[in-house]
Amino acid sequence: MIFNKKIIFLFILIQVFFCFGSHDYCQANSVQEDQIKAVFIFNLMNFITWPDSSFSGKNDTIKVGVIGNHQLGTILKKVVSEELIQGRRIKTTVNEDLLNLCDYHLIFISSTKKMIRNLKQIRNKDCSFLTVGDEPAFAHKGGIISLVRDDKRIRVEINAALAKKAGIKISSKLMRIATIIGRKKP
Amino acid sequence: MSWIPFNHKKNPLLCVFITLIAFLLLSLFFPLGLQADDIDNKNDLEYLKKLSLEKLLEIEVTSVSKKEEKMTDAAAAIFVVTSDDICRSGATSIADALRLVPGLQVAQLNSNIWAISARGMNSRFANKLLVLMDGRIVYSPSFSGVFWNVQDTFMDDIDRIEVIRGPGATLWGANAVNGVINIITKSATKTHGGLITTGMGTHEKYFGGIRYGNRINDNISFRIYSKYLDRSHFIDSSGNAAHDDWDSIQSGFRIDGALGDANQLTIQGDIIEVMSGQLSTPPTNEPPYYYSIIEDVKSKGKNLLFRLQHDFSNDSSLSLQFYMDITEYNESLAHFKYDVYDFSLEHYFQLAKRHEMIWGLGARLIKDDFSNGTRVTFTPDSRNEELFSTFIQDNIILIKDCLRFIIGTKIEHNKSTGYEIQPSGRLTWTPHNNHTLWGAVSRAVRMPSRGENTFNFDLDSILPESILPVKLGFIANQSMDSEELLAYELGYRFYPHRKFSVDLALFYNEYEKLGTLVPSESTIIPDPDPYLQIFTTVGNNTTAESYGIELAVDWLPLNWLRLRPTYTFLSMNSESNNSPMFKDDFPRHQCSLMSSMDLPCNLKFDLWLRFVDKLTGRNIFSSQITNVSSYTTFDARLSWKPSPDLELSIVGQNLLDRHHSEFVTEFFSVARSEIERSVYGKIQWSF
Repeated sequence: MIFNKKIIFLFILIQVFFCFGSHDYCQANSVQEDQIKAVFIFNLMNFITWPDSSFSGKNDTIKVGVIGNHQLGTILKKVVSEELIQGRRIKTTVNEDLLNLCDYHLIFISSTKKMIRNLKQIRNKDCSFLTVGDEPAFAHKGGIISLVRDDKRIRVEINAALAKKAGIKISSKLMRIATIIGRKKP
Repeated sequence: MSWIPFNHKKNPLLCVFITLIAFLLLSLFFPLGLQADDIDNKNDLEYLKKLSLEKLLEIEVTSVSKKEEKMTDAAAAIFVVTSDDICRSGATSIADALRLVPGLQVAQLNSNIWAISARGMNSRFANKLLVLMDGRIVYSPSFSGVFWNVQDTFMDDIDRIEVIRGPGATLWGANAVNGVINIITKSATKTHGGLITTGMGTHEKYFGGIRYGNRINDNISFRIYSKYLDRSHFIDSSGNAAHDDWDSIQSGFRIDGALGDANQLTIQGDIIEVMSGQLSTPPTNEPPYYYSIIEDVKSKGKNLLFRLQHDFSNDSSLSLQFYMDITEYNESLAHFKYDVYDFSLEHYFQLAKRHEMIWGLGARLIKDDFSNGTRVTFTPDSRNEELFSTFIQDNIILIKDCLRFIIGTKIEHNKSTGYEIQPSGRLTWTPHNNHTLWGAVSRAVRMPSRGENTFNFDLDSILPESILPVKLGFIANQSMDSEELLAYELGYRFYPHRKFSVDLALFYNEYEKLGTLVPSESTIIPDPDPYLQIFTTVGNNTTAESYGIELAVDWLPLNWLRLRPTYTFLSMNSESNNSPMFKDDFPRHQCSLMSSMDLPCNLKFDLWLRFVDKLTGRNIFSSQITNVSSYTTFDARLSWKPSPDLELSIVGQNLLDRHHSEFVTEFFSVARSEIERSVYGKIQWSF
């Protein structure tokens, strides 16, 4: 009995020592993957220019669709609430399928094999939406921007040729921090 | 002596409370963890929104939720150890990392030998577990068990270890009786850049490794690695060196790429050379009736694997895999080499809206070559064995997002026991997003190993208490049948909150035709000096039943604190004509508490408390019984990242005791070591 109490005591003592020692002095340095991705998607919209024709007017919203990751969609809704990008409000919907793609400006597709296979179908659509995904080869398989988990961090890959084809302009600031896919060697 | 002045009293029931009390006390300190904020801390998001894109990409991520989502779907007792879990546990080998899994019995016999099993029946030669590394089966065909010291990889390249407790035979096949351990390394697309790790310590004398990965072109990535480790010996119960040092050098590569839009190719290979010290004490007829052999056991392995996946359409994909695996093992008692060639095909497709079908074919050729010594003979000494299999499984969606029924079977053919059928039926009920109930009934078999079929040996003498000296011999049983299991499982997963989850599994296993030793004949040989000759063989003469509970809780009371208590209860009864096996040779209670803290200034601190109940070790030839006491210990790890690319860490292992023992070998007299307290420091630099 004494033996167990002492172990518990020692364990908790060390635990509590470190807990009190650390409480809220600075931000946690390890964050949920979906949080980062959601905030990144919000931030990257600042560096994207969609063709005017994709909006019905100056006050039209930027429509974002999230497919295959309900949690990320819910976080993104929180992130973009009351925010403006290029003077426009952002409307996020969380979907299970790929209906009415042309209604969106940005579609996030989580690593769902079925969805990835639909990328071919997506590419053939003649409208200007940006596809963002977290499947490792997303930008190789027909997506425009990949948010790839590389060990413990997120890495960005951009398929610039496809972005151009879709009529979407990506700022050089975003291009600088990304790996560019499909760029022809000089 | 221990630096904590306690007496090693063993009261197994108290272990249940260690976790609970610690858990409850901690909850007093952090009552806010589960309150209102139901999806994410608003402050976190506000903080993240202020960061630039560059800074956002520098943040380390955890993905507890992702793991949970995958696990929610599974109609089996599955537990996933992630790359981050391995790193934070301080484990330096795959075997040690498996201690994180509830329901597994992991015991270290000495510095380089482990006994690992799921749901009991553990031994150095535990043979009811299927272990795969990136789809390559790594158990040794000689005894259907795993040489854990030869199963290694660059630890930072492990993406996750999926452990399925209970039968997985329908999909995985023979040997997946008590469980499947699937070690999965990261795709080469995820390991770009360089990584150097090095460190030293009291038991980990020196270890180091280097990995480099990059892109060959837009579609294809590669990585290469090399690692070395040198572990010093432990001590025996008298405090003398146990001569169980362990040196290992290993290199390997992996290439992953997309060939066109619909094909994914993986090529990977490894080469490993291991030198393991061993002190064995075979019996003799002179007092003290045993003698000591100190030797270096040399093992070599190389493997090469190709995997191609083709997507026909949205609902149909085909995967082809081929690998070869060559292993050599040399010790004084046995020298053997076996080459394994394995081909498999899997086809997934959707049939109508409600049926997700998967079927496959497999062929496996094992060519072995044993060098017969004076005491040990294999008859024949070289053999080719072919194994063919096919399986089909239908995942039927009875009610969308609510009720699924999975039914399937595997049919295998092997030379010694003919056709084996291993069906299973599983039901998953998700009445609510946060609750999943599942149940399963499955049959699994373990085919006789090469050793049981063809292995013969003579040992000089033991049993000094008998009137006459005794010569023991073991004769193979070529007509041995497969061992059979009928397993009933029930599970419940509960996710009341993104930061809290409970995973509970209950099982009842019925084993038949278990292989245990049977004395076959005893004769008094009168001339020149009279002695008693006893021959033993292996027979399917034991039935057993076991039942147990496995519980895993995952709780993030604060953004920087994660607590993971686990508890395992196991009970087993066996009935046998002659054999005393499977009685008390397992810990009835096991529990652990892992606490992971992300501290300010890039510090991380982890504590890992473990309790393992007492068990009894039994030498199956001499029936000598050795008691192994229960033990409680904890590991601690402190790491600091002065820059995003550099990590310094210090790890203390088995800190509560100067040393403790964990297991006794039941077969051949490999000396038992005391597992000592140890400390090591590590530097990791990525570039």
